[in-house]
Amino acid sequence: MNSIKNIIGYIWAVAAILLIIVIFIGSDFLSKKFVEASGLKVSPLYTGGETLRVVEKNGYKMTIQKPVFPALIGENADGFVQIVLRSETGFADVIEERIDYDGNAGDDFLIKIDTKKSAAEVSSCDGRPVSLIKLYSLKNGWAVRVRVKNERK
Amino acid sequence: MNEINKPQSGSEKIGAIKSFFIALPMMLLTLLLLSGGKKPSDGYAFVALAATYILFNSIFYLMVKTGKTDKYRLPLYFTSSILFVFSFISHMLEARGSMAFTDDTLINCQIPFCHIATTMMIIPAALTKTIIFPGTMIGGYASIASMLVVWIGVSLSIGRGWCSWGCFFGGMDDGFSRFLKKPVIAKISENLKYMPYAVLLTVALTSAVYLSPTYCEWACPYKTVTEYQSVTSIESLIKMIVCVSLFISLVIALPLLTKKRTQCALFCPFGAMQGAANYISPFDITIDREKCVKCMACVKNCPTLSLDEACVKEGCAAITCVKCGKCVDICPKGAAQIHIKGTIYGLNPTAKRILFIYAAFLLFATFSGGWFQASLAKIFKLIATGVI
Repeated sequence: MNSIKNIIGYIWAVAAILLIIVIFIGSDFLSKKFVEASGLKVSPLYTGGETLRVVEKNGYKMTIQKPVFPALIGENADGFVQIVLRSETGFADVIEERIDYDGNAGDDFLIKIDTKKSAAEVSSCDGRPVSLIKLYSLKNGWAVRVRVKNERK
Repeated sequence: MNEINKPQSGSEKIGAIKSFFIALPMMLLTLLLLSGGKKPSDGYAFVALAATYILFNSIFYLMVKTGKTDKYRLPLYFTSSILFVFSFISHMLEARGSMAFTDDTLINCQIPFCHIATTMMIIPAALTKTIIFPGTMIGGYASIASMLVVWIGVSLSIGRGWCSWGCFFGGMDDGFSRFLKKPVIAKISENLKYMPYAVLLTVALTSAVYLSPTYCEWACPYKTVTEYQSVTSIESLIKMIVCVSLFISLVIALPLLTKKRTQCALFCPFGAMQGAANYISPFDITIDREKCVKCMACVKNCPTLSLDEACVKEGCAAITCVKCGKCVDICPKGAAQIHIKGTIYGLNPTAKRILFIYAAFLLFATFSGGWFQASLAKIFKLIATGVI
């Protein structure tokens, strides 16, 4: 019994060495397999959620992302919608955009960005409560997070 | 030399030719792993590769030949962590122009992932299938998936040995803890050993509640020497003050004064979690009770408080052991040994030690080899041309 345990012990130790070689040589392959198998993604709290639609505007591109209601279990009653505006040529002093994030063909809120003052305002178009969480200054644009209520809660 | 100071079988010397042949597979493997099978991009990269290769293999050869592990591991590990900081900061300056990360970095999820964040993302990942960290899953600099794969593999292989051979931060307090010959603060309360578990519990729960990596944001000392949030508010200023204070106290001052790895042993939540990996690793540290003369040199010198009198009586190190090899090096009777679970105690200690250092050194060489070479190439270029 002891000699079997002894042999298994040494095999285990050699396998530990081989494992180190395998994880470094196969790092890219194993990383991809790990993501596929686990289904893990970066939290929408950081990515801003999946892209709902991209709208080409005069001189800039606007990405509207799906609303995010982050919670450890289920969904939160409060969440946010992220709007990203990017331009290669620059922005006007003031940008105004009406956003429909729930796809009901009606505008939900209006965002107004003062690019000179790095300030933003949000107002509701349909009476539902919205407020500005934060305006982010990006290298070639702006991102706005707007607090919205979860209709399902 | 009196009897107690005579090194015995726990750390045996091996002849030069035999050592060369034992180290030969490492020489071949590191040639492949350090070069990535590719020709270096320029002369500086070639010289850096050659210097790294020769240094690493010389150190490994000396480890094999002399029977000493920690004696050679420590200077290399400390150098590696300093070069990591140099490499990381220079990369950040090239990529962003600053060590501070901005809104742009966050919104684009471009923060390099660090293994310490693993402690905070396990509960949210299990419940939401998402990682609460603003990094990239695959690709880019230090992606989440690649770090997780390395962490899982290393945990299975050498357990908490990660903290002495892999962690790019561990070398700092390890190095500072060896500067003085004698500790200024000799007595550390035993109860402080439980502190990392309290930190782990706190950060795991708060991160799950707030869905954000609270330790990274509020308490990581290493932000001081890697990257930090731009100071744009009172909150970000407080975060910065906390992180810098923890770095100065836990990574520099207390290791100098106590000769212990205070950040790793008394604060790091990852270290607390990684201890559990020692259960699944084949390697552990044992004390041969027949050889042990109870001199307690191992207890006094253990940098992570992983050995106490009870451990010596039981014949094994605590679960917090980082497998640095210091106790094996200093034991005057060769009673402290690197052991392979399941094998017969005290038999073939040299073979067991060599199997362990193969796994541990391969991790060190391949993981740190990239930034070691990159930093050396930049330093050589700086010396030769005056620009990085």
